[in-house]
Amino acid sequence: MDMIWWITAALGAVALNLIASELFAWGPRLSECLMRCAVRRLTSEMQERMKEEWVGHLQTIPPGLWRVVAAAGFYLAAQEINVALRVRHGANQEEAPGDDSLTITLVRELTIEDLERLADSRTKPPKCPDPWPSTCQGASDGQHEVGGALYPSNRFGGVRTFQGHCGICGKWVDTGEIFDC
Amino acid sequence: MKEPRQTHASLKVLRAFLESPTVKLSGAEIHKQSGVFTGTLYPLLLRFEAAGWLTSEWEDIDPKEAGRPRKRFYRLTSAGLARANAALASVSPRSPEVLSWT
Repeated sequence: MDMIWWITAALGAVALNLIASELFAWGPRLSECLMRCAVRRLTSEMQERMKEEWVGHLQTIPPGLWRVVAAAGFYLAAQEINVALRVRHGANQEEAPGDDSLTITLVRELTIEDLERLADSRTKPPKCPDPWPSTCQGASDGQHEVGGALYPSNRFGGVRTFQGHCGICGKWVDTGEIFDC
Repeated sequence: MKEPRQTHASLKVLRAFLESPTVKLSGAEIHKQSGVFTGTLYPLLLRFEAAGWLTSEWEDIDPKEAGRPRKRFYRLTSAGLARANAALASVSPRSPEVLSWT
């Protein structure tokens, strides 16, 4: 058992040494590759500037693990820089409001009650003050004549009423008679 | 312009500038002095620059003659100097120890 343990440890040490030396040999290429990837992640307006700056930065670090770490940092920084730039552009838009910034400002000013009302209006049909023609234009007394097939509906606050076509004006009207079947 | 949020890393960067406020520092030098990870450092520098706390300019050399790329130098503005002093003064007395501890 001890023999197997020692052989495994020796093989592991050799493998680790090989990996470390390979990493060291590939370090400069790896760091350059990471830096290039980082530059590609940036917006076009920042690519030239950051590339020159980061190449200069990498050259100040001796080849090895720290250079790779620094390059990995550039890769992570690219995303942050894009966010920072977006924030900056957003701030500029606030200074000179356009349509988007106006929307953002409006949303910011809404209270929770406003948002709840807005959500309600999205889910429920809009309330119409007078959805039905209350008077018949064709009838002398202004009363609809609804006959034939009547349909129960759940208008008027959930109470089901009879509805149908007016025989005179031909419009779809509500009789107001409660359907309590 | 919105003020940059003050974090542990940003205070370390500001302290590096305040050690020699008139000297221009490159990103690599700030990294060395502050010890802030490059992934945090460059977004911070850009945020400070966008807020007007820092200005930056390219090194005045010809890269072909020098045989190396130009450095980008950062320097505190007068507004940035005041804000940096205020930011470092506003942290609790324990903070300098914490800053030097890391």
